[in-house]
Amino acid sequence: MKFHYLPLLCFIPLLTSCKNVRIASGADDNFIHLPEEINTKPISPEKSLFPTPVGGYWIYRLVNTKGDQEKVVAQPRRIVEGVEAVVLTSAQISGPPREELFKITSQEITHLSSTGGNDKVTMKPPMPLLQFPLNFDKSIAWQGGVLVRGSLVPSKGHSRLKAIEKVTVPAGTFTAYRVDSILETTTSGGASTYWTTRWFAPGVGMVKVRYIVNNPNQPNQLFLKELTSYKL
Amino acid sequence: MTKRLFIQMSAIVGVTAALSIFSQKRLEWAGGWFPNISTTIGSWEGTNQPVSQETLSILGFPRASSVAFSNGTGDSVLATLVTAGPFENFHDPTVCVGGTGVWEFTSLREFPLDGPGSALVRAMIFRNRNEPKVRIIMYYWQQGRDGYTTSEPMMGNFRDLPARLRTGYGALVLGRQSVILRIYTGFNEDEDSTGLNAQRGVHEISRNVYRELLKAGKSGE
Repeated sequence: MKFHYLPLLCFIPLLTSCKNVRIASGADDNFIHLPEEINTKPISPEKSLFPTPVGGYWIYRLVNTKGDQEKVVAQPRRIVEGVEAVVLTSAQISGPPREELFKITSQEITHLSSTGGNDKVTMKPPMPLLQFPLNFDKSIAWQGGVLVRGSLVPSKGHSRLKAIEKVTVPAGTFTAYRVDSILETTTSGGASTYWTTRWFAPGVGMVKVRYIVNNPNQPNQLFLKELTSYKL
Repeated sequence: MTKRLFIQMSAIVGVTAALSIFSQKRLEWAGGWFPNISTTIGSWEGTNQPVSQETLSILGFPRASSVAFSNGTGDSVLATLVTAGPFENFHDPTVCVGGTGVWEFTSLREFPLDGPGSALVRAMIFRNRNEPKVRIIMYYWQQGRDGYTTSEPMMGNFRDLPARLRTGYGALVLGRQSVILRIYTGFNEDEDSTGLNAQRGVHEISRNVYRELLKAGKSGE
């Protein structure tokens, strides 16, 4: 009689037995990394050149307008014409607030539009700045239109990853990826050319930007901004 | 003799019925915790997504939420949370994802999500049979309101019986309330040759969800 309960005792080990812990055992084991690897391996440049966490900001000094500075803030991302756009707003002491939209994917970083005051300039199609994987020898050509005040102006340009350079700005010295872009378009005053050089530091974003504008109203005018502080 | 047998049978039926009602109520209670997933985690922004009727049907229509996260660099991660009541809710990804015929279950590894002593999560890789360079990486675990976690499979063969008994014991006897997390993303080997970038996103979201749920459980949310 007392042995009737014996089968029930067999279930007790099932409740307390060792957990069925599994180890890697498949064809794709090298695609699963342990937390130590995840935390210590550096993020690839592709993923860290232009970090834009919402609320993150960068403060630049504007070298040409003495004493002026610009604060750029990453805003919540927005869907624009079906693509998720990174939104950066900037405020200067002496100028109207600006807004720049970029599309950042695992394939490329493209410039969508710039808005300043009442003017909005939209690139049709978006103009690529960088393509991944990074390639120093490749020039990325772009041909399309720049939409200004409702009219589409035929334009062309190209971008190129030029070099990795040490850049010293007030925020410090950074190893940065230099990207040169040229945009040729037509404005009310005639043919215009915009040379832009951006230095992207991994984990920081743009640490230095140089624009040279050449059109009948602004012949070879230089604008330079350098990072003084940032928070991401 | 007949009367005695009748009383015995009645007692058995009564006890069985009482246990059945008790189990039902306990399972309802077990699935009664439904915490939120934050839609902002570091540089990740999420939007709440409806969970498809097909998925809900497979899982036995639990309460479920789903958040699609993106970080502005082209990465996205999907996090789903379902209440853990009846065993249909525990549908194992190795069976139901692999069972679609499109995805082949190719690797599995378990490790603590947030340092020693933290939740043991199951990381799994599924490879697309039609496009072998395309894979899904998924983290899976169950987390109780009391902080208990497990990632054991519950619906496989006899090896899973202890895990089922333990889970049943937790829900019925201990009155444990828990949820099941599936956090995953897809990646292409051509763009992410080792899958590290994809896993980094899944890991970051998972770790934060784990911490949030621990906090929610402690604060009684």
